[in-house]
Formats: sequence, structure tokens, C-alpha cells
Amino acid sequence: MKKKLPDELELARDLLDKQVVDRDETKMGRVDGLVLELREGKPPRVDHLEMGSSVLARRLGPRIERWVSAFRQRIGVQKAGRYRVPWEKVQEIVPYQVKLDVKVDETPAFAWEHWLRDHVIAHIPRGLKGKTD
Amino acid sequence: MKTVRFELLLGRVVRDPDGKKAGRILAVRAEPEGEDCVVREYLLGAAALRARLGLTAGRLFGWPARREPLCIPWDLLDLGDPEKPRLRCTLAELERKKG
Repeated sequence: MKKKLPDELELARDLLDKQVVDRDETKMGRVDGLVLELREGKPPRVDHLEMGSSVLARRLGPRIERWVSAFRQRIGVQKAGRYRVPWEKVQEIVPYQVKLDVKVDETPAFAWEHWLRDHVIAHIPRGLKGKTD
Repeated sequence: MKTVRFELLLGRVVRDPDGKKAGRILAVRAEPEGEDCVVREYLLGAAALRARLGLTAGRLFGWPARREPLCIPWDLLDLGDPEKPRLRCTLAELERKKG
């Protein structure tokens, strides 16, 4: 599949906090962080994008990151609290979203949703869940 | 492999070797190059923030019309300590290079 990337990127404006979708256009979160690789004698390159509550919390401060990580581990959602996407998986960047060449089910992006489904929704009595077909 | 977290780099004050403040990193320009996306330059100063936010009508709000953001080519910024980025040349030398 051919990539659709602009000729020039302003990293904070064009990537950070942008909506991320998978190859089927399923929304899977936002770009919470970017990691640059520093190379000797060569310009730095974007190594990977990061998503997840721990990454977002880190932007607010190391203490908040520790609180969020501890909370996640305590309730057993997912230990890392972050999902790394190698730059090679970025398929398309448009002003409103970043499209990845991944399938959301193969990633830990929906760890919270799965935790809620298994630990909360599953315990709601059938009559209170509403009609489902 | 040495890495830097981009989101923590934003807003850091850049100083030249003499300790003179050059400005804060408020935007970073990059270009896709083959399979990679490489950084070309770092933009410093309030003008960089206005460009990032797309605020072109600042004068309507009483903001002074300012010069272009200070652009630092990737090879002139030392990110050895990402919390204290340093210019590899003085501000005066940078201005001279830009002509």
C-alpha cells in the first residue's frame, strides 16, 4: 500500500494529539507521544509514536505518570499503559487523523475497553443492559 | 540507541555556548525521507508558536508583527542533555550563517 504523507511535517501540529485510526478507519486513540532517535552525523529521525494513558500522564509530570501506572497495575488493565507504533506503520497523515497500517484488535489500544467489558459490563444484569439484537 | 521524547523537548529553553538564551523550542520541522521521517530544523520563539497554531491575524489582537521564528538546523542543536538543549554555535554566528 502506498503511503500518503505530506512533503513537510511540523511534528507538534501535524502529529501530536492527532486522532489515530487503524487500516479499517476504526478510531484507536490519539498520538500521545513521539520518540526521536538521535544518530551520529545524521539528522534525528522519528522512531515511533506512543499512545496510552501513561504517556499522556508523563506530559503532565513524572509524579502523575507514577500514579497512573500504579492505578493501572492495581486494577490489572495492562502493565505498560502504552502502545508503541513504529514509524514504518504510519500510512497516511491528513489534517484530522493519522492512519496506521495495523488492525486495532492486534494491538493493546483497546485494553481499557476490554477491561470494562470483562469487569463491569459483564456483571450488569441482562435486563439493565437494554435490548440488543 | 539514544532517544529523546519529543513532547518533553517542546518548550525547553535553548542556550548558546555563552549561556545566552536563544528561545524555547516550540515547533520542529521534519520531512519524510524514504521509510524514515527526519528532523530538518527546530523553530524557536513566540513566532514559532503562532505559526504552529496558525495565528496569522495577531495584529488584530494587538500582538506586534514579529519576525520569523528562529530556525535552528538539526546539526546546530546539541540534544545530548534533552533537558538543556544547547546551540553548537553562538547566536551571533548563527545570525551570520543565515546572512
